[in-house]
Amino acid sequence: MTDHVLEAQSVTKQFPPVDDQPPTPVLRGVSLAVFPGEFVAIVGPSGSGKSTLLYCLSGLEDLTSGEVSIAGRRLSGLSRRAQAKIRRDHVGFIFQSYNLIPSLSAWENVALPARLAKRAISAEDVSRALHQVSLGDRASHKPSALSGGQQQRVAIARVLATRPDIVFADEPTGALDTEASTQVLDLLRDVADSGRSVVMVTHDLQAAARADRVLVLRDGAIHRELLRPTADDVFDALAHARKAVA
Amino acid sequence: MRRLILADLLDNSRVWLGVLLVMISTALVAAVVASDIETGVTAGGNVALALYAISGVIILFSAVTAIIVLGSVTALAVTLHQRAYALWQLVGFRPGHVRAVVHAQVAILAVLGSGIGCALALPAVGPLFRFSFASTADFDTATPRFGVLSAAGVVLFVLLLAVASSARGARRAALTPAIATLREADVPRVPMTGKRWITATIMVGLLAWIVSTLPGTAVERLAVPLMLIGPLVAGILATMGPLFMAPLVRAWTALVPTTWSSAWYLARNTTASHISRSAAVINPLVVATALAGGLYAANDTVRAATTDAGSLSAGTVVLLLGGPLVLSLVGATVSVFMSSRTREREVALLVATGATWATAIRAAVAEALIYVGTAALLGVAAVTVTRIVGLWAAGTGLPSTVSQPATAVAVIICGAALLMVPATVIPTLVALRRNAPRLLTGE
Ligand SMILES: Nc1ncnc2c1ncn2[C@@H]1O[C@H](COP(=O)(O)OP(=O)(O)OP(=O)(O)O)[C@@H](O)[C@H]1O
Ligand SMILES: [Mg+2]
Repeated sequence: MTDHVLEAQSVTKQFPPVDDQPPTPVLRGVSLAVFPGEFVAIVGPSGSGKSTLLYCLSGLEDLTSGEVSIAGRRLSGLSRRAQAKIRRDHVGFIFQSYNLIPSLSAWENVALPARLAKRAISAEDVSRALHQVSLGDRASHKPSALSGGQQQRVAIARVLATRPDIVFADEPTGALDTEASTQVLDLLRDVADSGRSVVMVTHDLQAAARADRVLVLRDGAIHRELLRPTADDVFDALAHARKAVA
Repeated sequence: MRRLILADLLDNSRVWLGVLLVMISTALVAAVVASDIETGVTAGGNVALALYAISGVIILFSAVTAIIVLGSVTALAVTLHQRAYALWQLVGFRPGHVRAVVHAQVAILAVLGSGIGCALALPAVGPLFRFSFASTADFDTATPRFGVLSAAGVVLFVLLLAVASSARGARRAALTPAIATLREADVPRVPMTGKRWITATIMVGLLAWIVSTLPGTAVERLAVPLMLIGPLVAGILATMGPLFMAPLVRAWTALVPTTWSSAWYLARNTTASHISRSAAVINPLVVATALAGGLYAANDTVRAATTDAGSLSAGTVVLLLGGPLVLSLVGATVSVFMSSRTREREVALLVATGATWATAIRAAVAEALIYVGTAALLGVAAVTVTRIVGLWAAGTGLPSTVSQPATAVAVIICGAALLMVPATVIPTLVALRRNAPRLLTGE
């Protein structure tokens, strides 16, 4: 057992070749570890493999080689069923869009992971989570009747109600304006401060600057690691990564 | 414009291929009817009289089925496309243009589909005719025919029906403010429109008229009017669907407590909230049940009231029901496949949320069972109406058994389940095998 929530070792990922093109590795030996309560941001040029890394770390995508453990359990070699169980016991997700099942109300979406895991979840827990994201009055709305930012906050409420050990977020503020972004980031920060870990992919410098640690990905490998950087630090590191690519 | 029409047809091949399949099936069914009429005209005499009598029933069965099936499938295709149409408007298409494109797409498919249908019918009508009338005297001399004129009639029938059924969707596609559709990730709810009220009223009127002619009719002659009751009731139910379908689905599916199965819970919410999508699957199944059950219920009534123990021959059943049944089952299956793109995204999300593959697959099975179950309830209602009217008209007491109509209904329901389960499960499996998270990031 380690005290890491998430641990990755020499993760590589290669997609099968498309149209006779030689397969290019998308991830080339990424190793990282995330502590409980840590907020880690992953930045990098477009196409550098950020989303792929996130999906590999969360077990949604199979690795080509390497090891990933969540909450001390190695994902490789586990059956899909066992992986699904780890996901629902330890992992939460926030995507850029389509986070919610359209036929379920905000309330039902928040309660869904618990229902899937056949875990009891009290009505108070769900309501409290929705109030925390200031959507207590929208509980019975369907996703189509919520704004993009509100849908994103429902996804966060789902994480708050389920209390996973680690939350993966792929560009959670990608489709939001500054104010809505700030709100979402504040909430993610709160999640981390309450002792759970957050791994977030983003291209928003301000968002990255809210993290405890920023990993700069370039060409499928970790190029730099910044501790508690400012937005300017992230900007410089990214500019450097882009230059190195060009 | 031509480029856009073709590009869109290719791009959304799943949806349009479904529509094409239904058009081909409709044309096939229509071709059989047209061939019977043409054969009758050419043969004259007793053959003609017999054929006209049968054709009347087949035409009604087929027309009701075609209107419901082709109508709901075309409408579904247009609704599933509303987002694309909204995008076209955003890039500068005028509403009139959008409408023209929709009609053009549907018309192209109708001509293509009915053409293929006629070509397929050509070698089939002969053997089918001989099988259906194997036991009928005089018919060995008649040669089944299916000429150019019949084919043209079939193409025209399919074309008119398709364009008429897409009219509402096309108008809505053109009038909906682009933004409203873009926001609405779901297919919007179909309200009870004026046209629906009118159609329903006409059908209720027809039903009332048929029922009013029954008292005093000789018992042996009751069979044909009684046979028409089932499909008519199915038509009325399909037309009035927006009024009761969602509450009905919610009500009966609540019999399984939501705490028992998360798969059932998910399926129940999906079917009830995408009700126009569900109705496109349920309606054809109701028609199929009502047709088969109604035919036997009508026949049973007559048999019970007369000493004549004549039962339906296989040939007659195939002739009367074959086409409409195939058409409605194809329609239901195609409707499920057509909307499976939204299903993929939901499956991806479920998996990310921690659902096992088994849960996702069970939810797909539950969805199929909810379609079939709802159709069974409505279909049985239609058959029961036939039964009650029959008993009343024939003036007999309760018959000792209801076995034949019940068997027919059971066969259709089981057949429908056998088709629906793979139709929902296969796309789910495909979605599970596909790269799940990518479905949630892109369009
Ligand atoms: N299923 C796939 N098959 C083949 N190649 C893929 C697949 N998915 C992603 N890729 C490739 O992997 C590379 C990294 O993609 P990824 O989505 O991880 O980038 P990203 O860093 O998230 O970019 P962005 O910032 O634009 O979202 C890209 O070159 C992409 O084309
Ligand atoms: Mg990405």
